[in-house]
Amino acid sequence: MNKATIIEDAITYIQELQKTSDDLSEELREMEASSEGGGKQMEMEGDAADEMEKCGIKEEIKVTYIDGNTLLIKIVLQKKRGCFTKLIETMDYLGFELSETSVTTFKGAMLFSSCVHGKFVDALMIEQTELLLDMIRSKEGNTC
Amino acid sequence: MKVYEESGCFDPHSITDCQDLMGLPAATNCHNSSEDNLNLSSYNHHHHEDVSATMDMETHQHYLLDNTTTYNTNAHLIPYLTQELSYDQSNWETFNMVHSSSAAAESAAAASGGGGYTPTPDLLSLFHLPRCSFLPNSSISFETAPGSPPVVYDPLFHLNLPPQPAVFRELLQSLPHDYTVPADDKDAAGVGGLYHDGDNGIIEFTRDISRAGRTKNRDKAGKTTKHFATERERRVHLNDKYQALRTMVPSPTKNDRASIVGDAIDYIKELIRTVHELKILVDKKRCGQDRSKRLKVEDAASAADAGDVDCKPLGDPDRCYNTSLRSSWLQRKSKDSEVDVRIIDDEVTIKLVQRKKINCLLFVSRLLDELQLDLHHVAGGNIGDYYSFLFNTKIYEGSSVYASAIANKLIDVVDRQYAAAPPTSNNSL
Repeated sequence: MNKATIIEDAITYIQELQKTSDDLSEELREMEASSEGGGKQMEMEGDAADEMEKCGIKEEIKVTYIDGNTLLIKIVLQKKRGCFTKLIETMDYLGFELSETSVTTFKGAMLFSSCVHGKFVDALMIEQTELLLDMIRSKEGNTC
Repeated sequence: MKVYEESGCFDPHSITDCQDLMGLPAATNCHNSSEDNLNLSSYNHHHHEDVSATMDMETHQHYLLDNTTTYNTNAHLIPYLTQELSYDQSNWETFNMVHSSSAAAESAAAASGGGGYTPTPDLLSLFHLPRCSFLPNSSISFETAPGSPPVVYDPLFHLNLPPQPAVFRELLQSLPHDYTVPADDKDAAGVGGLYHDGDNGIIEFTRDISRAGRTKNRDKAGKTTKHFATERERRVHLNDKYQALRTMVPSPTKNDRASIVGDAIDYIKELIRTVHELKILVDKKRCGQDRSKRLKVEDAASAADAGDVDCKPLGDPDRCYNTSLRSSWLQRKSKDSEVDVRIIDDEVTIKLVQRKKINCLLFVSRLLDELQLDLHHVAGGNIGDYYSFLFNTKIYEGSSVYASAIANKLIDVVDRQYAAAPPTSNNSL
């Protein structure tokens, strides 16, 4: 085994593996296409709402003004499929830049807390937090 | 390390075999080989370095034998071989093992054409070989196919001659060092050592010459014209192969050989993991489909025929149970971002590091929804110039998304956003 043959063998082997992986993923895609979708989504979300009620977690939103352009936002939402995306879209719409973000899910609820920079921070005073919550809820409502 | 051993006795029969084995193209090789031998410091062989070295010793020996007349005149420079031989052996001197000076080499080279020459003393002094009974006019033709294994038939092997390792080591060290041997030891370590094959006297030089050669200063003064073209070709081919290997790897790092090989190793491991993961997924999918088909058939059957339900054995669903744990890990890097995807069973952990230009969180979360990944935990923040995110997600049941798909799509999305976003000044926020 000299260098040239080792390199050649490596090239051949990589090509083989790539071909195998492509074939398998193609097969998987075909199987996906021909199979039926799962109807389990609705069940999960129904469960989420129930769990939240059981634990007494309520939806809420809390905004704290920190400094200059910075806000600290904490939101508790019912976890639904795609709610995080809606949340981020709302933030984006309001022109917020999320500098530190943390999201946790527990018992069907999602806790979102983030340190946010924004240009129009002054406009969004604490009283308008309800507005924010409504916006998020409405976005969810539109797509659900 | 012993190839040539001093002998007190001598077996003429083996030599004739030797002659048959080692055929040297007399015309071309004689002249060149003498040059080779004489220009020790400028020797350059590669695959057949070992063989050529030994063969050239032989050819040189042979050549010396050819020039008995010159020998007689310059006999003082030619090492003593054995007493049994009929050649003139007067005035041998032992020389030190230092490389011959180029002047000596040149004069030797020049003289060789003319027939009277002063051969390099160094190499020759190391020859304490029994002189083969080569007839002065016999021509030994020797062919070394390029890339052939370095195998040399030692005609003296079965004579059980006392070893002279010290001499041979010096011989090796005095050999030209301009071999393109592997720079790293792992290549040499595997096939190190000079060993005797007890059965048929084949001795194989492997890396010892290279190892011995590497310890000394490399002398790259010139190459032998005979090997120049093939040598360069060989190098070019090898470099091309390295580059080809580099192009196959998705995220190559540096452009040096060690990195190329390292990246290739990592990529091969990653491909093996991916193939394994895909196989498991396909099996699960197939199993699930079979099960659902079977249920349908059973339903249809039971609907059509209320009483007769024993057509299917009930153990079928259990047979598809896949005990192997699906696991997979891969990384993708691009100019501005880095993605690391790890999957264990149905949990996917994604790490994303992106340069702080635009907020990709929106696009990433959209993609995660598309891929049917259920977000369980997200942590993200600024680190200097970069955003760094960690997503802990779970795959929704029924989805058979796999690691490389996730990673590729992710890096794709992020890069596309980068390309689409207008270049912003550094600190607009």
